[in-house]
Amino acid sequence: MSRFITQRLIVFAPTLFGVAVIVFVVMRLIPGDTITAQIGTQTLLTDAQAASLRAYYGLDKPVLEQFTSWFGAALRGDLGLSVRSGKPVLGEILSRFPLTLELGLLALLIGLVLGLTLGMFTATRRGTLADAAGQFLALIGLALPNFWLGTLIILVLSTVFHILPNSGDYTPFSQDPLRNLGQLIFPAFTLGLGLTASIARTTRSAVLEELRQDYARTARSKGLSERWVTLKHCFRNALLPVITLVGIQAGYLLGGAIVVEEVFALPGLGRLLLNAIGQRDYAVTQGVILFIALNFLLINLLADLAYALVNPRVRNA
Amino acid sequence: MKTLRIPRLWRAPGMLFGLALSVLLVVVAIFALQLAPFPPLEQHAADMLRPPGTVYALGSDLMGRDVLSRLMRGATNSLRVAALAVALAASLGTLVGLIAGYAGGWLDVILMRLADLLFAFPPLLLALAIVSALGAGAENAVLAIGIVYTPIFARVARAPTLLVKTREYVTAARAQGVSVWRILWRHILPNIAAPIIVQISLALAWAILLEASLSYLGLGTKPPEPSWGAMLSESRRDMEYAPWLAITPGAAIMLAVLGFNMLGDGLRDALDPQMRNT
Repeated sequence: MSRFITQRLIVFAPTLFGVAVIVFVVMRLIPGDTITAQIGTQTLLTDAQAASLRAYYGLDKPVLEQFTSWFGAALRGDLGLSVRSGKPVLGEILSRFPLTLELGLLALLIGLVLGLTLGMFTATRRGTLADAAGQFLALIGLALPNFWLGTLIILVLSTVFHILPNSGDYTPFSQDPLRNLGQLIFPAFTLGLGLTASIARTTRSAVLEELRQDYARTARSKGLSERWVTLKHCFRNALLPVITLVGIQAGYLLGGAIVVEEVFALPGLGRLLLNAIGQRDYAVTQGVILFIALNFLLINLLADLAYALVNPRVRNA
Repeated sequence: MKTLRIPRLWRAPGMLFGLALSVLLVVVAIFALQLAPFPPLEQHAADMLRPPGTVYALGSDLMGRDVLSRLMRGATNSLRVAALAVALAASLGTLVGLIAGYAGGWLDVILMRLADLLFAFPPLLLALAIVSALGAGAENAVLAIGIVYTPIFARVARAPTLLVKTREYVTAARAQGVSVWRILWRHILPNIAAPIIVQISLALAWAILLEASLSYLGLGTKPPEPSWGAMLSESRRDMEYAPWLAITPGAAIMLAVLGFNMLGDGLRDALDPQMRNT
């Protein structure tokens, strides 16, 4: 177990470094450089002014030097200053992160509860009409764009129930938990539905696979009820692929949150990123992308560890 | 390598449904201008926000443009971006996977670790990063989505290459002095084509969704050219009194994703008997 954890941690560091290199390289794809891109046309600035700005931001240094100073600063928590607000990028990120985290966790919870239930329901009714309907629902859930689902939810709430979920200021959980949950429940459902569909599909096929194993047959031949065999024996083992899937999908929730926050006008990390892209605020764009990618890596690491914890073959290795 | 057994395909209704949806979508996308009842950019000042009816089958928008015609033209734009992106990802990714799998050793390690690094980003985030650097627009969306899906094709191509390269006919070709590129192209690629074809169909579904997301966020196809994502985004302003503007483009995206997904799932089941019972 400790060897497994050490192995994962050893892989983590170079991956993080590689991710930082990619973020740095991608942001250097900007035609010209960030100064030209931010100012628009050079006519507003003299060459000397542009050159002094480049020197100020260190853009006149060799690329390798630019990277080492940026990455070194990032490791110390310094992601630079927002060109638009003048505030530290990390501070802006940390002030928006709780909302995105809460949205992601709620979506994960919704996805797990609905997905596992639907997956078990269809697996135990294999070949029936209910199974086909459940599978079709899961397929629709996968194909449903979350920004469309969000739009439809807003449409129904506003026209039928006269509720506007994206109006008014956002209230943090610490201020008013009930109001906060009321504001986040629809966005979380929107974000969690895709996850529900993938969890349901994976649970169904994993449970079916386990029900075919020898140990399930042995349990049945001992006289245990099918319900007992499914719930006590097969479901636990079927959770292993689900955990792997959740690890991957939880990361995708971070990507999905960008769009869902935009649909429901929630001031989270996604909106910070989209506004930064719109305003050509490259320090913020670069910082948010690095931050989300870091979280994606951490979530995958956690999923690996959770997998090891519940899988005795890895745990006792 | 298993080959497609055509008769079996006709016994898979899900796949047939997916195939029908995909073919319909491709036909509409190619012949959008001929099939559309109105030019997609034509404005009718007297017919603003008309609900679906006999003249405008799916209604009209705030500028009096026919929604059905714009959806059809949107199919052209959305599918073009998705298809070009998948073509880029499939060719580049397959090439990388073939080289990595065939060469082995340090080249394999370097190429696959690079692919793993791209997997360390949520797809939408990576696409957003690339588009934010290069600028909004359909061409850059193609590049961004193409890069996002390249590592998937590299993985899909590499695994069977490892198997096929040990086959006798490959050894024989090598012994005869056939060049590496010819071995990859003539002897290995045809034998690893099946999983790549499956992946193309699945990737098309996700590329359509990713293109719609980028367009919805204002970073894909630029207006006034219609794209499904942008149409949905524009609909938010008027959807309370013109709900058809929000319903139709989303339904189009969903049907397109569903079609290519079901086609891909069906193809995979037909090619991989182990998957069929699950």
